[in-house]
Amino acid sequence: MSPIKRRSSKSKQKQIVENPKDFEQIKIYQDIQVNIDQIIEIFGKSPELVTKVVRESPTPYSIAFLRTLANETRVDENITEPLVEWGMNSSSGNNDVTSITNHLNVSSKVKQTQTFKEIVNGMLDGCVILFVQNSDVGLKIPVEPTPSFRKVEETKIQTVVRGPREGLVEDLDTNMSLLRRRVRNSKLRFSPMKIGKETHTKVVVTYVDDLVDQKTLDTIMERLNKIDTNKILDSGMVEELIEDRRYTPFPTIKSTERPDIVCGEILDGRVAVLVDGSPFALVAPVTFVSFFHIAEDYYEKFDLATFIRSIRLLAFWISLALPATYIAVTTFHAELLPTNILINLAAQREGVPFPAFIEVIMMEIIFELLREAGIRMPRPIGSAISIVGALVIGEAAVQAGLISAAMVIVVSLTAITSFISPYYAFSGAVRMLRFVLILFAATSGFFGMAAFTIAMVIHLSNVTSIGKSYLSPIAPLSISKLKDVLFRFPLWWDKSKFYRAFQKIKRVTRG
Amino acid sequence: MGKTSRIVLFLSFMFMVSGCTGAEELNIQAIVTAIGFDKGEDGNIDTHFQIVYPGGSAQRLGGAPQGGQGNAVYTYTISAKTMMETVDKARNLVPRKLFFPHIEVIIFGEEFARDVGFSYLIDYMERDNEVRDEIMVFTAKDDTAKNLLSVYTSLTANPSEGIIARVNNTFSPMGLRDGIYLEDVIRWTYGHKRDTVTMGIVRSNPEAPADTKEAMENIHANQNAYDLTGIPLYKKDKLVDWLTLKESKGWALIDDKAKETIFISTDCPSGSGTFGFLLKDVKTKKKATVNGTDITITVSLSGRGILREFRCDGSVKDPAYLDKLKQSINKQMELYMDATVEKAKENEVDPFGFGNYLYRNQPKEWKNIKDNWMDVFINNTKVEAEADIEITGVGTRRKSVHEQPKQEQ
Repeated sequence: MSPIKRRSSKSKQKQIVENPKDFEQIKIYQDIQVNIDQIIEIFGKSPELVTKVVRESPTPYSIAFLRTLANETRVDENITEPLVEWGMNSSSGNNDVTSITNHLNVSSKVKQTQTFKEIVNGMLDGCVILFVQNSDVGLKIPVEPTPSFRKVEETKIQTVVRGPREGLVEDLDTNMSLLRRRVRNSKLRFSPMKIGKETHTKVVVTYVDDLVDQKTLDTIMERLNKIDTNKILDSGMVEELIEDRRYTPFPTIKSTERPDIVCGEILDGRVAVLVDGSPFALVAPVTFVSFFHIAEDYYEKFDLATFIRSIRLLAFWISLALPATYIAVTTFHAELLPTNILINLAAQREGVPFPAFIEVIMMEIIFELLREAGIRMPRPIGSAISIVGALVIGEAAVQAGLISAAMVIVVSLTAITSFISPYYAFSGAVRMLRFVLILFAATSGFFGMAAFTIAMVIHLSNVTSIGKSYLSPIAPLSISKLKDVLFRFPLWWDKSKFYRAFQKIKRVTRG
Repeated sequence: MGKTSRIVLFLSFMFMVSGCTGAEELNIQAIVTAIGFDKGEDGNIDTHFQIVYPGGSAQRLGGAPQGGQGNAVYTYTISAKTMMETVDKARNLVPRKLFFPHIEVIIFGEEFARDVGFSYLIDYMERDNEVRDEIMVFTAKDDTAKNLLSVYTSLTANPSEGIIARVNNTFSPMGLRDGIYLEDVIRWTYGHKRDTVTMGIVRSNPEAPADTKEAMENIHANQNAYDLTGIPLYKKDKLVDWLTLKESKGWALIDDKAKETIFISTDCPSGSGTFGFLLKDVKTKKKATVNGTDITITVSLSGRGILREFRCDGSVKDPAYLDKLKQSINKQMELYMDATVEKAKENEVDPFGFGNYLYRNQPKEWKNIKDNWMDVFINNTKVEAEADIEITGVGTRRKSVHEQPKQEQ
């Protein structure tokens, strides 16, 4: 452990700038102790700040770093120890900065800095700062960062049956590594930047150089650079800031925790944005139909994938429109039902005091409450909620005569289908629109539902995702791209750039 | 004013304008499944609404436990001069709102059908937006509609369900492909140049009490049952005569309404004994030759027969014998059809749509005869029935038990 030399009133020099606002103006001082004092002034008396002043050396020096960012052990091994060794072996006074640099045990390039702005930024990046007596430069030495806290684990939200299981984590370097291991191609680009005036969050824009749509890339870069915000704590905040400005319940940027999805998307010419501290990567532009697609569609056989896709589409409609349809049919269009079903439904409604509309709204709200409670509550109490939920929704409400039994089926089916969509933001949009649709159905039956659906389609065709049409390839229609909308055509049918390699292999293997 | 706020304003207007009009909760509706008409007193018409009480017909109720279980259906009777008055009075009588789209059955009492005629209700039924056309129409033979609608039926809680099931059952006596609906009746009577028919219905045991729930606890189910009987012939909107079951079959064959029908006792070729068969895939084609005032209408029937019961002394293994069977079958069917035509001529009605057929296929000739078509039909029209039924199956038995003892003797 390096000794921490505390600032004492005796050693406090008059030269340092107190309460500095702008580090740019402050130049590196000649005296190593003053430099350290200036850093302490900037960072405050923080336990994470490690400083050391060594005067018993041929060349007196001082070092400073944040041990929350730079790995302390590595600093000792690679910087402190070599310097001590060098000091013992060499007796002649040599204050050459270059010779000190040569004795450091680091592979990365050591940068010389002139101002405290660069010093502070370097320390926040996890570098070690070295000052040499009587020199007006500071050395910025990159070292190994502190180990990331969470290891790569199986994905929690977007799970698959078949396919890679590892998910992105909070650590940006790990995430880049996860992507790089999948795309071993020199064209894969990571373009770094920092966003957030207070947080300086590292953000990396990822794309494949010759596949990417240049206009999209430019737009995203421009918007990221324009972001003027104090804090970025998750990719969700970046997402909201770079979306096309349009009020829409549907997500226009996809967020995924799966590295294989990110790779698939950037290989299709899209752009991904990784944010340090967030296990969710952003992908843009996206289309409406892409929210029905998951990575597994391409790992399973094409016929099964197509079948499951259509199930997902069905689930979307059930989740959106089933409660509304129930209201419309039972209160406006009872003539549409076969007589026997009508009588059964009517029998269930005997003695129910509320209109069907109130019944549906009540049950949907109860379910939304249960769902929210299920997410927020501490894990060990999980089973309690499900018992209460099942009893309240399933049995007691019917027994108490508050709701009819068919309503339980409607609400549970709606609930189940809302979980089928692999993207939470998308199913969230459906959840909200469901209530609007219920309102329309309760006031004007199927007519209202049709009006709402038409309005929704008009709205959707007006939405853009980073300048690209949201309903593409359905509107504007692109016949050739339709093969990956509802159907998932076999891979060998694809003529896009990505699969040309496939074809080559196929031709070779078939002789 | 911004675009968004304009849209919001428009939508809120929409909600206000619609204001839930037309919304009816299920438990304030009285689902009418059957209507009956009888001739009442003082020139009134008795209309019977059979209304489903869902609480009584479904197994499980949705709401809180009820005080007492009700019955599956109830019949309300209203006496009035017009349909509108009837419905208006019903509003006072029935505690729920009458809901017409699920009417499945209309029954005319015999007296109503003979003296009043069904034109009484047609205009209202057609004008009302709730009433549908797919309602099966029945006439009660020698009975009132009220008596028929006062039956709690076994096996089906809702009597109209039971009636419809009988018609749709393949082996119903007439083997109709489909029932006769209000739509058909209206089209035939007022659109096409033909006379209408409905289906006929009787109670299996007209005297037995079947109008309380206790009657359903009796093991003898006959007393809560209906029989489909021969079809009634109507002249315009009034009943004139009844066809027997055999004649009804003839009617169904001529009018191409038969689907799968059974013939129970056909005489054997040798004379003694009978055999029964199932007739399938029946198709009827009509052809008319007009020769001055003489008209010959050829009705040719094709289809296949499957042997169901064989009590003759021949062997079905013998192709020559099968040919003879085939001839008997054809002969029998021709007899059925001839008898029906005879009956129709007697009653001066044309329930087969021959007039319509001529109008469509020989419009020039039709012009000459359309004014006195009924005269021409009765006196100068010859209907030739030709049947050509192939026996395609003899069932799962080749050698009949009836052949066996005779060979041993």
